[in-house]
Amino acid sequence: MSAIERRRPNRREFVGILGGGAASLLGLRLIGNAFATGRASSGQDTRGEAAFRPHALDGRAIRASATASRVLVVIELAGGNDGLSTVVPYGASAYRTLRKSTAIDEKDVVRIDDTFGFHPNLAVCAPRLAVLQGVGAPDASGSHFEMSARWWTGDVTGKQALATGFLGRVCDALDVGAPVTGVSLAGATPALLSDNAVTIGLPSLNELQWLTSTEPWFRNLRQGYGELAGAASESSAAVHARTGVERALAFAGVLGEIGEPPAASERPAYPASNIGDQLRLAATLIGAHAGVRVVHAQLGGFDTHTNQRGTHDQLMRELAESLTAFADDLGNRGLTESVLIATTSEFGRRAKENNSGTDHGTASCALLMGPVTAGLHGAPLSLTDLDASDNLRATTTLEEYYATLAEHWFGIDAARVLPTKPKPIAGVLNA
Amino acid sequence: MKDAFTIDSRARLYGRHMASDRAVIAHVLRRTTFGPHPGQVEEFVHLGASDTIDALLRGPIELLPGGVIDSTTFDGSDKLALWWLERMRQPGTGVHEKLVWYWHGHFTSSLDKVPERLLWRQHNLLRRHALGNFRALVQAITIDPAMLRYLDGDGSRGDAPNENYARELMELFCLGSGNYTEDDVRAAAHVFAGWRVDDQKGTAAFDPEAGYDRPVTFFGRRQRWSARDIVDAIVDHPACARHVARRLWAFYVATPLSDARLEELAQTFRSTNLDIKALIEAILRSSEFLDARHARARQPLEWLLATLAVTGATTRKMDLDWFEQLGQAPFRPPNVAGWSLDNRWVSAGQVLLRTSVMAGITLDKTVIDRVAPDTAAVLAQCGIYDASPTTYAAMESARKAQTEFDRGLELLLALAVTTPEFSLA
Repeated sequence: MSAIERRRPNRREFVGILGGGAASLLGLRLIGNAFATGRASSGQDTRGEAAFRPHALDGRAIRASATASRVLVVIELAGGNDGLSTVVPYGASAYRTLRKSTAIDEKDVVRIDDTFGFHPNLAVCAPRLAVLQGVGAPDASGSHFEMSARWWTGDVTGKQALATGFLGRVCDALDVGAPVTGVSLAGATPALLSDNAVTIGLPSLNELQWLTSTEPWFRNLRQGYGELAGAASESSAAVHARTGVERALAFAGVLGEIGEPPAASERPAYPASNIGDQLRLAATLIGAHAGVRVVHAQLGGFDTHTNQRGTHDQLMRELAESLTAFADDLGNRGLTESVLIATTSEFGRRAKENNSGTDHGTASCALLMGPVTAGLHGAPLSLTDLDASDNLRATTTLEEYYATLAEHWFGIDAARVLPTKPKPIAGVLNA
Repeated sequence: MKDAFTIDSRARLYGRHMASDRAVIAHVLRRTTFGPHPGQVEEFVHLGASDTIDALLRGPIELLPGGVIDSTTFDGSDKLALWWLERMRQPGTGVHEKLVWYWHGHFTSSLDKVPERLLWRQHNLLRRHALGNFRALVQAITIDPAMLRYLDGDGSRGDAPNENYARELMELFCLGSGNYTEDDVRAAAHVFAGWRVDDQKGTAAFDPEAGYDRPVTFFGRRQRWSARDIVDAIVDHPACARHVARRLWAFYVATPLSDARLEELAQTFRSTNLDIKALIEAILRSSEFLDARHARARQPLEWLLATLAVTGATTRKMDLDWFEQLGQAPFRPPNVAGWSLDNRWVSAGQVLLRTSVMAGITLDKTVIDRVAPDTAAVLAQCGIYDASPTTYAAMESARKAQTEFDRGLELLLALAVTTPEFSLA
């Protein structure tokens, strides 16, 4: 073991520190107000004069105290999730014509009604799921990157050039000066770019021991970081670098509130998967009650151009098992009523399959779990009235979906966080 | 606005003239190689920036060695990635090695979907064409077995073609969105159908039975197209030279690219029949390049190789886990767009990770013996000759807080690699 390795606290010491309350152990001195200097890190401000600007913040953003501790967990199904294989229109005759190798048999679906049923691998969580059908953009692009950007920024047209993400603006609206308001568990995401609230992309907790160690070497390192963080204005990239250091230190404030882990017998069995690890960490962070209000997680691999059945079946299994463990974990912590889980995906797949998979499409479905009204919401997609490119026509815009999350979950007026004034969808949330 | 990297702070360290020269040479090495390695700036500084760029452009062009690594020796052990990282961290690499890394992100493929033996061939293809002709590169990559597998050309049939490669070829690799239609994507997908990859041989072959033997309308022209014709039409599209120039500019310069400069670079590229070396040279010789210090984040791989170099860990076995943790292991891109160049690489999550990685690196004895535990020596070790007053002050207080006998050198180095001057390219 090297000298520096010996400097790292061991696991037992780390757990002890976490039980304590790290803020007092920090020994750091932030120059200026750490929570007022964060900036959207898109590299440049691209908003024009006429462009949408979020309203100035005020206390009225949060309507009622009931919403004051609510948390939103967004799971991004990256790559473009096939809505027709997630909530299967098994009763529609056109489904059999369009889909052959990727079709899911009627006998296998988890029946919702005479037309629709869940993918069989969603069975464990199906009774708890609400489905918003046909979510997408009216004028969709076939590009992963353009459509992901529309979803991240909450701009259904892709023409607003917003410098912040939808979830970042939600964090701004919820910001009460917490050390960290928004956390991404799959690295930094543009969805969480904010103007004021502190949002960070987080690695696993095992990498954070240096942040709370009481050893003088680490205290001195953090002291140095605190000084690095507080530079005067300079080049854009350097400001981002300093903000990164500053926000890393701020995260110690969240770590300090994490209590002892529950006894092994009470720990839900998360599947051994990346999304399982992310949701386990999400439950830990939410359970710390340290001000984290928005969590972004990601499950990738949905770009099923080939071998769709094998790949998509496995992804549905991973999603369902992780969601179930997460819900149980939240239940054990008494958080069932205060956490809403909602999925996004940049697009669905083409209505007609290629030989073994599906190419990029348009509308898909969104899944929600938590205090929701289980079952189908919104208008179903038509499998026969396709657009000029043989794509499904969205029945709900991504902005209407986001408006539902902002207004009905957090009590934030949609117009504060979205460029148009979309109407939320009634009846999806039961909260 | 006050420039953070002021003459004052440089002058404090080295005297105005020398510090400025060294900072410029360090910048050239940071952008065009995986350095600067300790001592390298001092080695090049007498040449000046222009001759340094010359020397780096003349650097070695090395293909994968036969025998040591060939298509038969792979066993899923990340042998290729480890070989490459070893190669990258050698101080003698020039422009070529960094450019191979760039192309691996541009025309990317992933071990998640492609066997290592196919990636070996693709890697050699990129090494061969890295400083060559862009048209030849795109023609070769279009029927490269690893690419056929990664973007689903393998198995695509003319009667229901897979659009994945056709779309990304135009959107990401050659043109950028807005320069083609969805109908162009579908037409090209039909023409590209019919290729089959043989995993064992590591080769690709065209099966006419699975192809599409009819005219299609592509870029407004209805005719019988071959895959080669489609690629030619794409690289001859006026947007192609601009797209490639813009992307390479973002990697090598990263400050705003004026329309005039873009047209000039695109013109250079076209007039040399898409000669990559000519384009790179034009970018490196632009007046903007030398002024673009610290304009973008160092990608994790750039940061980690530099960190290993300054801690003297040049002979220790490379740990691929570090690269994966930081989000940038070779042959494991996050998606078909490769790795971003944006500020996410200096965000809080990276700081948390990088610090953890740095805390696990053992300083080499030679570094401990040679580098004095003081701020100026540590900054020079890290190739920083333009430290801001804030950086200098933070390191000075750390030096005062931590004694030499209690790992003061390690503390200064850990701080130095976290500074904006080191975190940025």
